[in-house]
Amino acid sequence: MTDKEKNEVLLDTLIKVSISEAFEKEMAALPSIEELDEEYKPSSELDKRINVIIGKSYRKAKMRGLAKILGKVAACICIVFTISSVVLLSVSATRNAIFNAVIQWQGKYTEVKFGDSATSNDTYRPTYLLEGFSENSTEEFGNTVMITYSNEAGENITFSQWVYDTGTSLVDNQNTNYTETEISGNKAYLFKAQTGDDSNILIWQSYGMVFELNSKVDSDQLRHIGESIKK
Amino acid sequence: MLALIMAIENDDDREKAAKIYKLYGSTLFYIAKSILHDNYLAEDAVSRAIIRIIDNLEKINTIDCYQTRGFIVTIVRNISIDILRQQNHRKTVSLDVIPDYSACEEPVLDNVTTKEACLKITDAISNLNKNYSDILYLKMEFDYSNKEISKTLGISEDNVKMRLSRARKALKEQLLKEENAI
Repeated sequence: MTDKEKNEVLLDTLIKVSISEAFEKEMAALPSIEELDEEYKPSSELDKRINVIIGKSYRKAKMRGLAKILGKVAACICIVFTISSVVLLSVSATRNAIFNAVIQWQGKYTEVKFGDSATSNDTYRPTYLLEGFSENSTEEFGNTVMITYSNEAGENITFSQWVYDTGTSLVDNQNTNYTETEISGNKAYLFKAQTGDDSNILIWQSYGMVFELNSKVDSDQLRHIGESIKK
Repeated sequence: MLALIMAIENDDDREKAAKIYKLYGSTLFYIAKSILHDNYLAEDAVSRAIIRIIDNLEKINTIDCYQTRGFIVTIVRNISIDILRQQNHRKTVSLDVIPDYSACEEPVLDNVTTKEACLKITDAISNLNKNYSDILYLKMEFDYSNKEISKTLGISEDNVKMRLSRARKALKEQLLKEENAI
């Protein structure tokens, strides 16, 4: 790789790191939603027009890659690395050293986020389930495998898994309380439902995969199920 | 059964779209109005933005968070700029047309720590033309493919590629400008 190419990669890396902050800063600079609701509330005519648009909207059902959705939208778990204090010098030899440092730094960044990508396509399953639950369906959406377990009462436990894909994982945290926990020695994120209508979500990384359990059953039970995951 | 699943999905989608409009309707209108300075045009922009948001609903998972607000801001801002272009098409030069920065090949981040470099870049992004910062957000913050950006902004994939390349060059130019100003 030439010095020019290295510089390009270095700049891209720094842009990637900086963009989130710039984005968050721009959003924070906007007036709050409450302030805008006071001064820029859409007219009732526009409300009616939008309701008609929404009412008539018909989108074709799409195969949604859950990993893609979780990886690309609205960050709710965002693990940020500490920016190093490496000095960027123009001297070629030093720049080479810096470049290598940045590559390592990027490697660490990725590792912190979810580790190296695995290539296994094998499906993992829990070896422990709540009484009365059995496997109901297995579906594949892109690189995501989603297994649904159900009981006679119509309760579901959804177990999704995908090969580590992108650095930041995102979970819908609306109406949930977020805590960090551990599953088989791996850091896990538990979004505990605040109401009976919402689901508990447990997400963690292991074996180069990202696993997600989603259900209204007790969060401790979800943890037990998570601990029992095996190929 | 398939029809049932599709109907359920559409009900969910409608509910989601309604929630988005309820929460961000005033944000959409504010952004459109600040660009178009006209209530009628701003309402048109909001309507078009909602249609495009519905078409990209699968990209929105959590409604109430700054990333989603940013996503809808990006959409309505680009639509409003398009409307403005249409309104002024006879006298306005395309917002895509910027000077060629191909001469900006030298490193622009020397003798600073990575932390300082990131701060400089953050500031430079804030000062970029919104056409460029928006596309960088979609590409790097949301990790969208060119095809996804094309669908979100309603522009061709070739235009996405060109705008990304120009955004990067404009950012380098901005960094050089700041460096020279010191």
